[in-house]
Amino acid sequence: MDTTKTTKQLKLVAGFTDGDDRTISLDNPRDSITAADISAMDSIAAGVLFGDKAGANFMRWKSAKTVESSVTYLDLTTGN
Amino acid sequence: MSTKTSAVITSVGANNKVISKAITDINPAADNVAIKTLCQSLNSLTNNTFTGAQRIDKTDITTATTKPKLNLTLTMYAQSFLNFANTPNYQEDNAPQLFTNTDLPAFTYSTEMTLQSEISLIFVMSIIKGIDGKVYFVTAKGTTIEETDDTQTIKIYFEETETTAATTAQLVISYNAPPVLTIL
Repeated sequence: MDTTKTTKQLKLVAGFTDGDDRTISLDNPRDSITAADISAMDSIAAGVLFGDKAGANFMRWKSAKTVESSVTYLDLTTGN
Repeated sequence: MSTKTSAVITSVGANNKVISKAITDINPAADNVAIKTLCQSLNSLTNNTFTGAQRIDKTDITTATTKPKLNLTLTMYAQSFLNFANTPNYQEDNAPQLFTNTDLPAFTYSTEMTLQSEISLIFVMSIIKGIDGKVYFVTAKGTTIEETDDTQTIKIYFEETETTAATTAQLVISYNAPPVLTIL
């Protein structure tokens, strides 16, 4: 019997002063995340997160999205 | 200096599964409280239960091409009646210096050595016979370290107390340079 596994991730895109972006992915996100939840973390990330290229300062969270994916594992034993 | 700092969020997810999530490119200057707050905030966006946060500082030593040299001047001062007699027989392998004489003037020893993160001085034994024939217990009274960009001068000041406990008159001094090299 084939098996399907579903996973969900929150992808946060951090913007830096040099124009660079960096994505932080978090597994098992809450269902009730709001834009205000993300914006509230602007000040928390400032001074802590660095850009990965030039070490630029964090500017703001540019976007956030949840991504759901499912993977189906085919049962190879039934075809033999 | 090339230091990379990252943080690891530790949490417990469904079925009591322990989850570790690394956040790279943390500002090395950020304090631990700020880093922990960010870790907690990020974790609060998940259904996982926050259990801790770790900070990891990595220093890249592969970029070091040359080892700066340190001009070390070791100067020892003693009260006049102790007066050390001979120039110390210093050995480059950091072996202890041994003095067995009773009439040594204060001396200065200079050498060049590979710059280390710090130099600690160890006084192994401090019994010496004064020129008056008496045996004294010698202790390091104080040490001063004067530094410039490439020079470190260490001055050691001794004081002595007469003792009858020792029959051997010698003073052994060694210094220890830690093996950890942090110069980049």
